[in-house]
Amino acid sequence: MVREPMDFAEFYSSAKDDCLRTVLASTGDMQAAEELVAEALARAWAAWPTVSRHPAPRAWVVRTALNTRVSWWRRRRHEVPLPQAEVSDPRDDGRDSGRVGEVLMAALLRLPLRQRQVVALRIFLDLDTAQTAQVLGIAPGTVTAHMARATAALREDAALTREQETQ
Amino acid sequence: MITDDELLIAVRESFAAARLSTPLDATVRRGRKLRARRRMGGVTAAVAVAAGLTTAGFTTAGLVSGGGGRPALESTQPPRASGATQTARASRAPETTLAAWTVTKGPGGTVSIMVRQLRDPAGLQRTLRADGVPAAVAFQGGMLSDTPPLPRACRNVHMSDRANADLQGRIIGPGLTANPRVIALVVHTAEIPRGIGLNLTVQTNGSGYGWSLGLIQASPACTGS
Repeated sequence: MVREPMDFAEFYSSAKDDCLRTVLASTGDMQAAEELVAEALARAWAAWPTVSRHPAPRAWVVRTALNTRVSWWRRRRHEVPLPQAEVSDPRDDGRDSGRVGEVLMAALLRLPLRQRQVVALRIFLDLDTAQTAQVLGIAPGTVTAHMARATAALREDAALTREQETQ
Repeated sequence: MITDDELLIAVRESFAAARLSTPLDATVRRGRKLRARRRMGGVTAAVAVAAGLTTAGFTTAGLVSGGGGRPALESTQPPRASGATQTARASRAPETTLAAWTVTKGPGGTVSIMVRQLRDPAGLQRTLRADGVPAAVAFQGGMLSDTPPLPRACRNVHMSDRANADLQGRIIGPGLTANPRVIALVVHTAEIPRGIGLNLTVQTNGSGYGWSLGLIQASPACTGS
């Protein structure tokens, strides 16, 4: 028990951002993803003796975050504070440098949910095919198929982006 | 030609700016409350998670996505309609039109909505209804705490919270823009059951914006048809 706080702090520091990105990839909602992951991490702390022995604690956090979302949905709400009042032209806020990343994020969110989950578990949580299959409760071959389809779709979007960038 | 690994690295890097801002001590404080609640015999996180997993039909190590929004499908269509000025470059990229709002029909009955300015809600409502989305749309001041309840005469939607959440998740998904000032949604019209409509409210009060969605009954009075 003496090691527990240190272990959790270490886990928290190394896992929190990737858990957030994985949930964001599934939900597409940054504010909700932050709230859900924060809650899931708190639950992980509360159950740390168990969670720390889980074969994939990060997957536990992601699973918990997405499960928590169910109870927050009866009327879905989304609120964003702004530095100024208006919802305005996105090209006026100096974020053009992030356009390629934005398009890639959008491309990921256009994938079917299962494909997004497979990609997110692979790229953010570094799970291999067998681990991803176990987490999602599907066959390894299905994971491979989802990954292939997702990669093809992403490649198509990335190609489109490059074409637009060069115009 | 980039390799698959390079492509996935690029996707991963596109999320690099997403960082959890909640500090560790706040997480621990919340965790202590949860643990105390559990010790007092309240709902435990572990049980809640286990119950949720069972309900959702996932394995004990599974990744649950109950009520999660469906993804936007790739659109090859130009914007169906938009509010205010439009400078569309026909493209699949969701950020290539500039208007107060934009409605774009996509494949598979998807309808993408992007709201940039709170202008002409009636026009947005008309456009959505014309595109097969039985919707009631409102733009108004005040933030979400000020959101009026769903219209009494229209909220006769009988289903459990879970079923409601699941249905919302199938019907409405988030679009994506990294720009926090743009509200992006995707409606999967094929998932809307007969008799069900959408109530969409978008708000701003000078310090931010918000939107809320609810399921209402579809009727001439509530959704125009």
